[in-house]
Amino acid sequence: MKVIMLSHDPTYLGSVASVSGSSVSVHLAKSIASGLSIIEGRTYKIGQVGSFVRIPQGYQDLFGVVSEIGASTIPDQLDYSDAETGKWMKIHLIGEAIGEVFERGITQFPNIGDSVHITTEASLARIYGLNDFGSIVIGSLSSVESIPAKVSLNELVTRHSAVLGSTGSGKSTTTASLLRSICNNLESESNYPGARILLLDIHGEYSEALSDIASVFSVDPRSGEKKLSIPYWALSSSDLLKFITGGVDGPRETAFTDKIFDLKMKAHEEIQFSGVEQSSITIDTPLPFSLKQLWYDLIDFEITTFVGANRDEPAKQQDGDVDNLVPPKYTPHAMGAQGPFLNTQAIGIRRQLNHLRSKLLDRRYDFLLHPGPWEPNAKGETEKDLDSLLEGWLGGEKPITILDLSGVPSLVLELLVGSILKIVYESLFWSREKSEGGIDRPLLVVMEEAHRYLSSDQNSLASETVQKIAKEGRKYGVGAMIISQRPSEVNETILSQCGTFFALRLSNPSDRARVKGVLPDGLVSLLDVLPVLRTGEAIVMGEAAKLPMRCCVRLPSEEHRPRSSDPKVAAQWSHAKKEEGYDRVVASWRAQNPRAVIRRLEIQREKVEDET
Amino acid sequence: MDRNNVASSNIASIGYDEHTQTLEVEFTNGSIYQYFNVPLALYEQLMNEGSKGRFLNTYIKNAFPYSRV
Repeated sequence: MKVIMLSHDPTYLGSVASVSGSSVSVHLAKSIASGLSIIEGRTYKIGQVGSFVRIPQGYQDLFGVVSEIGASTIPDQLDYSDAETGKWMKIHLIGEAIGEVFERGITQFPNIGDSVHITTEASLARIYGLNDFGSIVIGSLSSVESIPAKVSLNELVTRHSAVLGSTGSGKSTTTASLLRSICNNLESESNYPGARILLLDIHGEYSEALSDIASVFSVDPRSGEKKLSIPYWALSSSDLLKFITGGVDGPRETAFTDKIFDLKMKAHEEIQFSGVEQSSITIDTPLPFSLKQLWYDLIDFEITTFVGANRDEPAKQQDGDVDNLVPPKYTPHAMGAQGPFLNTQAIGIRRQLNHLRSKLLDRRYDFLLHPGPWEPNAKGETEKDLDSLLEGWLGGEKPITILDLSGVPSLVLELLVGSILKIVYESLFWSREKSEGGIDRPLLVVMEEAHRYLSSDQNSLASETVQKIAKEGRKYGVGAMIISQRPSEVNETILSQCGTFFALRLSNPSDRARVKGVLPDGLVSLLDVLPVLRTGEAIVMGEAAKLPMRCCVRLPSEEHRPRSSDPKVAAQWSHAKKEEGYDRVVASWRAQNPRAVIRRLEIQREKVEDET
Repeated sequence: MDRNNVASSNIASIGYDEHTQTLEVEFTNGSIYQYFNVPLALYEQLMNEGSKGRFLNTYIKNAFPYSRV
């Protein structure tokens, strides 16, 4: 009887026919046969997959999402002899609202015959529209544009997040928009001037888009950007050795580590770093030491020859030069009874030392091996210490710091990202009780193109460090945001630790399967729309979103969009060809610098008097 | 242990095991000696040397423990 009475209510959809777990079958009523329903002057489409329905239960309302809809196929256990329309839909229950407060999870199931209603704008606003402290507006719901899509900032940062989508689906715009929403949110009351965000920009897309709220460090700085340097001595010895020697083991590794330890000890004796106990220094303590000195001392030992009765007087002919990497000269050994004799204690690491020397001379690695003011002299003294490095990265005036890695050879990208993350995480981990630490000032690390350095098949420094952040970063206030177009290639541990997903258009089935696999809810059917999402449209789900929602990410204004838009083929090809100079192309290629020039023009600038 | 043949007046072949740092030398008269704790660098130097017999004499013979095999 109740059903008939309610059928005059325009929001009425039908009645509950069967309940099994959180899945509910609904029998649609005749009154909605048109597929359209007009409620309070607005038109609602009925039975859109992914839309929400409301099942009133007296004091509380249950909410569910439509996962399947059909007409001819009728659930076989049920007798539909008295069916009115033969149309049915399947709903997945997701939460309930008591009064104005919506919560995930349900306390009671609906009964057979309960009425099912369309969610109107007003009740959707009840689910999504809570204007509580700590939420940010990222755009608007796709179905109802007047309702802002909000995510909770706390969960977004601490439980980590991932932005996934094929190329051209709007990943970088979404990211730029998200970061902008956090830093200067005009619509919402809450504002976060103390936000601390570190963005690893692999393609150099963001520096212009976020220039007003970000400071930029670059390996190849333009005007207004600062130079990105990463002191090699802040890395752990095993990571550093792997890079500079090409891999060593056994007694050869010991030769290197012993010498590094020696040099670090000496540096501490010379400078007395604050907070460091002499007895607690290890090979991995981030103290400066000179790589050139390391090379010189080791090569000296390897090539020494001796004379004298006890074969212990060095037969040195000429001193070498530490700064220019010139080895010392010894009289070559001879086989006679007088010598000179070889150093029989030599370890046999000349090949590794040559490797180190060529790395030190290779200008591409300057940002790491010759890190500007952080490069130690032979004694281990540096112009600046790590504090100024961290202050630049983590304590800048602007809320976002962009580390532009676009000029980095792809060979070392992985090492570089790993080193940066390691330095940042270690410093925030150990300073967790200080006001600069991660608990008092949480940090969000945004990682672009994550599949390039967090791939699933290798245990690299970057991958290990991000795994650590993903697993325990929450406790120390370090959050990760992973951005990738190939989620199936990203390390699974890392992806599964992400609490919030922004899934943009994804067409590759294996990538889609990966996203579905890590979805914390049983709401997989929502993700069936992934291949047909519009550009800039995302499904947001997980911890930071109360409910999975399909939303249009707010488009930043034209000048604030990342430089990653597609080349305009038709427009560019419609111009007649201009005069071209491919010597410029070669110059750029050789210099590995998109802004390399063939002739440097010296422009004399003179002051001009204003005569007016 | 695998030994490589070498051109020398009194050494027939030389082998080296990196893990145990053992140098094995077969002399032209057929006797085989093993020298222990010989650093890799010294072995590499030996292999690069023109006169292997003299090198062995100068650096290895009375400097490292050995045993006849």
